[in-house]
Amino acid sequence: MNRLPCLVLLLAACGETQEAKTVNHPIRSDGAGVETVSTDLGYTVTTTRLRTVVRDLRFTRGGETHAGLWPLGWLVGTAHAHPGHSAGGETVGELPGRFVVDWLAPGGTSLGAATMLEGGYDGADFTFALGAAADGLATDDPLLGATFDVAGRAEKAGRAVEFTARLAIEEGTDLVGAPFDADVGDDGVPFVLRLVTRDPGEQGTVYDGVDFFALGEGGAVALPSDSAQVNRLRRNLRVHDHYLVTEE
Amino acid sequence: MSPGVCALAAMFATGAETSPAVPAADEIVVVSRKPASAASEHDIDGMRLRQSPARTAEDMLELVPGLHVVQHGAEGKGHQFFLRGFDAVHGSDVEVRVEGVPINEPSNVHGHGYVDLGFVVPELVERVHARKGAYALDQGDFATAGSAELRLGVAPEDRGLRLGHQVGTTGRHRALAVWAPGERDFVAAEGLIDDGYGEQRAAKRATFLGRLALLNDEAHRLEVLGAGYAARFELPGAVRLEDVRAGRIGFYDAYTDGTGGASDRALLTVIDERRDGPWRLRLQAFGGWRRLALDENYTGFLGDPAHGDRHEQTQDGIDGGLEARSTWRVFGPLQLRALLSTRLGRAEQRDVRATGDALRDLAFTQAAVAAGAGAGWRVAGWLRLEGALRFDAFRFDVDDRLADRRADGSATALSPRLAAVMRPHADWRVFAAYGRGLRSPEARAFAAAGDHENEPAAQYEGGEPEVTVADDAEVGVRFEPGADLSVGAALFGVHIARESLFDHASGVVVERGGTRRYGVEADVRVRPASWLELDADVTAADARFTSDGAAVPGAPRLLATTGASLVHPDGWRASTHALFIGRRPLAQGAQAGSAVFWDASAGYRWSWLELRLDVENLLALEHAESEAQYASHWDPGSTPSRIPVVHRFAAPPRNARLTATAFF
Repeated sequence: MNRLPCLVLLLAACGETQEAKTVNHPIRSDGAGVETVSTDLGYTVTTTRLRTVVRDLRFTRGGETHAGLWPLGWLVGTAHAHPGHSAGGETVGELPGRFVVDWLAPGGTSLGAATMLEGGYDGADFTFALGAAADGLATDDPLLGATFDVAGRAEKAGRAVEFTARLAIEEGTDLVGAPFDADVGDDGVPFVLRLVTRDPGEQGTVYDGVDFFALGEGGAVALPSDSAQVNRLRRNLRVHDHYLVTEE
Repeated sequence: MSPGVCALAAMFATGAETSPAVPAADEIVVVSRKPASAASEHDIDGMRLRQSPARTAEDMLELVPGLHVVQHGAEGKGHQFFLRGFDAVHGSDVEVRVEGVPINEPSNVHGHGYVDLGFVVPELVERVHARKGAYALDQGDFATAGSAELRLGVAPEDRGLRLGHQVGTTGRHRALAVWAPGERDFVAAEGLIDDGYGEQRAAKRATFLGRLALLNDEAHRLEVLGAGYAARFELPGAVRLEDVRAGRIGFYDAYTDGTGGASDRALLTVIDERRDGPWRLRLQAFGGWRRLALDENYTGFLGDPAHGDRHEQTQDGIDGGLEARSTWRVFGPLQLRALLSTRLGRAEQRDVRATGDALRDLAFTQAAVAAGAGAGWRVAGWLRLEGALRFDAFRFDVDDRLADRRADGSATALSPRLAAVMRPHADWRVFAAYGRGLRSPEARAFAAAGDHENEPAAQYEGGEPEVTVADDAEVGVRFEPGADLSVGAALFGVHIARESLFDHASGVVVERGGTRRYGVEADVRVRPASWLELDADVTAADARFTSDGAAVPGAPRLLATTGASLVHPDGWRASTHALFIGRRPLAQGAQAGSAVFWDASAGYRWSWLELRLDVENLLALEHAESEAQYASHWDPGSTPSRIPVVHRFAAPPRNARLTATAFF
């Protein structure tokens, strides 16, 4: 009797517990996704300044983590119900920390090296934060106490307005499910986080629904933080379709 | 009890044909049974069961070839089941019944299909009937990977009064009293205190189990079975492998103190079995009260850095049902079967964090109705065919008090079951079987589904709750030249096209992709002497998602056991049971290590006194009973990592139990 197959099977079945393989990949941001867009209200908007304060980038696999439906937020898997009984998206890569992302900085912004488990990825999450002095912001920086600092030029029918806006999103609000379709290995390839002003899937833009002339035409206008324009812009910037992570 | 009534009992138990059986020396009860429909169908009884070094009834299920049962808490918490490439968690894919009473708890707060056999005194388990796959009419909710039924009784030589006391090296004291005046009647009381091994594993329980036969003759048997059970136990959680390797925590330690649980049950069932010529009718009513509380923390301070993630799950409810099974031998080779059952339960469940914040506050009513019919036809002396069709309907009414939302819904499933048994030779049987098993949706899923219009689409990708169905198929062969040798082998496959799971973390119904499981299993049992039985089995299974071929996390690929049981006429008793579990995939590419578990027992029985020594983990190996991959954070002062790592549930270190039992 040939015992070799049995022996091979037995040897293959023996072994110590192995953790999933962990690799590191640089993460940076760039402005490739920030482009001049035409909005649903007929404005052509060019972004001239766009900065965001975020923290704790997470990279997920197997769907989304459905943040907000559970009081503990995006806690992984079903560990509370039963450890190891996984369903839905799970965080399998991360880059903890706070980041002031200048989307239009020449050469982009280096965010650091993410720790990731090898394998396929489906999405990326992060948490919005409010700018603080500890983030290296100057005392007169408009990002202090805000999440977004936006400036640009909106044109329509031969008229134009230069606008600025400060947007605050409640500290701890998660952005869940930014597309991140990658097979992560040990090649150390950098990944880039982008804010995309035009949603490539829905063709909507981050400026949709914002009536820039409602607060005056010509010259410069600072959109009031409690205005309908800022509320609409804030809502658009919280949509996961306006962010993506991709290979550099 | 007369042999005829014994036969009648077993026949009704399985909806069965009569076949003569010869009691072997020192068997408990050898009864006639429905002929097996598949090569993987097993009956465990006799000396194997009685001499098993089991501390719980769940441990006895481990004697079923290919079924692996682990305890990842302390005695009192439900076990985790592995069968045919399924990680059946706490019973979601293995249907368990005790004397016909369904034990799986639908919509349990800790896990759908939760099984707790703590109320079953191991010494009273007379037989375990196990079926892998779902090929028989009476296999119901949760029988996607298979089902097991425990039959209770007392061996003839053990009847009368039995008093026993057990002491163990873990500070264990267990007292048992059994009074079994007749063939079917018994009353048992059990008390246990055990400090457990390592940290946070102390347990105590009190159990009452009794059965009274009101009528017991050839044509009619009427019995009442009752149980009462209360358990209090600590829960150790799991330890991170990297912390153990770095020496930050001991393998048998626990991160937290004070976590634990309670499990209480009261159960009553009445069984009425009648036989009139070609008719057999079995009527059963059951009802009970159940309470479970689990105060645990698996993730440390990951979700709440300030207060920690400790939380308590509680469930309190009542449950009852009626079931009728009938068989009618129309004429010699043709037998018809019918089944009608209902089950109704009402429960309240809560999940509350240590801070007092409720994660869940739910009250629900769930009802299940099953009806089916089938036929068995002996086409020729060498060929028997079986076919059945079963319809299951589930109805839920849910009040989500936390969300201030009421919801209701229903789900149905139609399950065909087919089997062919060929006997080309007196010693050989060849089997082919196909069947559809099912798992109901859980109540909470109905409260979560269908009310997500105001949430961003990205946060909800679930569907409506549905019954999950598994298509099981196998071909097998069994060689049985006599009562002393049985050799079987089977090839099996299980396909689940779509799995409807309720994701406790996100609170939505997740439609997980299809899975398929292929495997092979073989077993051998031999009795070289009337007082000695040897057995061995091996199961290899490959479980994968059909979409991308990725391995299903948690499913063992190779499982092998070997055992021996000895009950010598001179009074010597001994047994050994060794299990090897191969490496198994965990989520995200991690792998659980292989492990060997070897238990043994030895004893001697004088006329009225028996001494027995059980040794668990004979080789003193430091193995994990189970392993899981998830994120946790136990240092609240540092930055948490969300990346999952391997966590281990320590198997018992070598320990011994000495039992003295007096028989009067």
